[in-house]
Amino acid sequence: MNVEREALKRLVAPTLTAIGLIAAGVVALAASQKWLAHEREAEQAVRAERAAVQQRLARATQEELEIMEKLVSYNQLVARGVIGDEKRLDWVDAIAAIKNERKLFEVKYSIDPQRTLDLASVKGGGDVEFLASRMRLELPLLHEGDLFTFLADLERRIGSHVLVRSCAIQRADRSGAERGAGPRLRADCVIDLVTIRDKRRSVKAING
Amino acid sequence: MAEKRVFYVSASLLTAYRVRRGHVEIEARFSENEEGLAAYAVYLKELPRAALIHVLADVVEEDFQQDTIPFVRGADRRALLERRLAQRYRDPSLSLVQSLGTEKTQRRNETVLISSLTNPATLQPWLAALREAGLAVVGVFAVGQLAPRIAKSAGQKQNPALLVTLNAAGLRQSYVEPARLRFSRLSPLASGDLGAPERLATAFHRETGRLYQYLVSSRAMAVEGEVLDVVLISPPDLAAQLRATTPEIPFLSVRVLELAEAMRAVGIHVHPPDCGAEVLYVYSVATAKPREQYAREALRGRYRIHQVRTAIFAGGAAVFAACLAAGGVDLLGVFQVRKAVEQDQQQLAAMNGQYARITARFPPMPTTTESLRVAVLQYGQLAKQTTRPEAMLAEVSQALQASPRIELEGVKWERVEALPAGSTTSRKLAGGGPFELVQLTGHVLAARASEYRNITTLVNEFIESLRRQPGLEVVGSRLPFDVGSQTSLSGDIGTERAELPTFTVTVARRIPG
Repeated sequence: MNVEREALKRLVAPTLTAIGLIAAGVVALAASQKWLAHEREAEQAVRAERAAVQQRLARATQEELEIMEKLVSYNQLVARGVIGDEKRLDWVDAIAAIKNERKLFEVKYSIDPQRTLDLASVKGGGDVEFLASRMRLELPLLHEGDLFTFLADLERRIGSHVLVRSCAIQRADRSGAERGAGPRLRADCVIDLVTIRDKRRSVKAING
Repeated sequence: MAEKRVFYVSASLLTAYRVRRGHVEIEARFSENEEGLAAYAVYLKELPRAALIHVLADVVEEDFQQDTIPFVRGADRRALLERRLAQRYRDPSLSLVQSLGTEKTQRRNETVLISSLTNPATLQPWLAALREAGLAVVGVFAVGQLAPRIAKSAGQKQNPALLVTLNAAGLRQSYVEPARLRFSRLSPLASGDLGAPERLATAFHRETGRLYQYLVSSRAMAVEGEVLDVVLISPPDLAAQLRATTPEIPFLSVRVLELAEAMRAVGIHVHPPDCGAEVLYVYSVATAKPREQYAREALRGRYRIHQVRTAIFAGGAAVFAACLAAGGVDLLGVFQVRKAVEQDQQQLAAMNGQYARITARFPPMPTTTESLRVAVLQYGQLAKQTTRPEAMLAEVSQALQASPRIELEGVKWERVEALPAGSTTSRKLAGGGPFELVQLTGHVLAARASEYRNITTLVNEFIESLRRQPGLEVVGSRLPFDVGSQTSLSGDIGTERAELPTFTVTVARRIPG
């Protein structure tokens, strides 16, 4: 019917307007909610940062004491050569010196390339890396005490930290004529020579 | 806002009013003749399509009757009322039923006020033209319907009252109970009555007295015998006359109110010059939006479309407004959060400054605090877990001294994170490493290879002496001969074997840390 058609026609404009208004309202609401969520995230982040700084601040005095104490140890490690680059030539010199001083028969060694220390409880962290160069030793010994002396000397003389992984001592095969003064035992040891690399220290050293 | 028009229809005249907030103005006047109806049709064509038309009838031919109907609802009630209207009126096309409430008896009968414009022909030419013009007709209203609202505006809020006004059509008297019309009638005045103020005053009082008598006799009054308030809306300059000539009628309390005052009370600020009290009704019908009206739905089609349009638009606008309101709350939240963030950042900056001042007192650092901490703490851990073979081998050596016939062929010391699979462990070693592990390989001196029992006993004694060492734990052993029932055992007694039978014992201890 014409009247009905005309009536429907008259409803088109308000319907479209209403739809437009609803859509605009929903969009505005969604935008405001998104904005609010974004601001709340920012608030959470600032709060978390503030809490961390607050905690750090509360610890600051304690931290000062801790730093004083740790700085002494750190400087000692630097002085010993544990922190810093490894010095392989010094190691070789030290081994040769020990052999001569202790009058050892022979010292055979091989040193693997440096890699990260494989130890469950020592993983480093941040800018600090624990590195190890694996050294394999083969020593003919008169008695087992020579091995222990050698290891103690090695630890004292080289800058790196000495971590003995394994040592196997076997009786040396000797003919009857050799039994007098020759080595009676043979030791095979695996040792990690550990150094610490502190990247921040390097940067400071370069800058400073 | 839709434009509002009120068509005030009296006996043979239609006055078109334009009503806005506080304003009432006359747009046109049409007589009920050929010329007038033609001008009326032209006028309607020129009206805005969105105009809302209220037809306000102020005619003598109207009827008010109170009736009682059974308590029914819905379609039954509608059918019942249609029947009652058809029984009462020859043409009930302009009629109205208003509920006056239900009785508080068990039957709960409903009291209704049935009213009708009993001569629809008076209005038909005007309504037909309206229908033809396709304008939105809100409804057909009777002047009496507006009386309760006007009486209330005039200060009559509590008690029943008789409202008397001098309209263009004549003297309109309406008996209202608060918020409800009970009876209304139009008394056209003779031209003589309108000539002089004193005659008019007399007519006011005469008609008031007559209506009171009628109300009493017809028992239309709810409470008989009580004083009835009468509110006389006086034409300009007649108030004093009316007050002076008010007769002493028992049970009537007359109050005279000037028309200008009454107009102000209903909200009219601008009105046509020399108008009568009809403007009160005209303005009230346009602004009060009475729910009940006399016309059938056929006349109100356009208005229904207008209502649907308004509802759709209002719905959309309401959702929009709600969204904006919710969005506004969110925005308020945004500003509050931002303010809080600003405060937090200020506090953060202050704390960072404070921290910087504290750390400025720290000694010169070769590295960062974190690196310092990691390097020193983890090196401490490494140092604690670093051990050399001699300590453990010294303990093995002590055990060996108790077993002089045992000779070791080889010793293997290892630092391991976990014990080998199949190791026998006690509580001392439970819970994980690292461990020192020593594997001893040896044989028994001064014994023939065939001395199974002797060799086994000596090896077991050695193992026992290892176990007695406080720091050691035997976690595995392999005897020279397997004398268990699950394996085969063979030998050649009488023939000496060149090689000595060897055994292996594995001992372990936990590295502290």
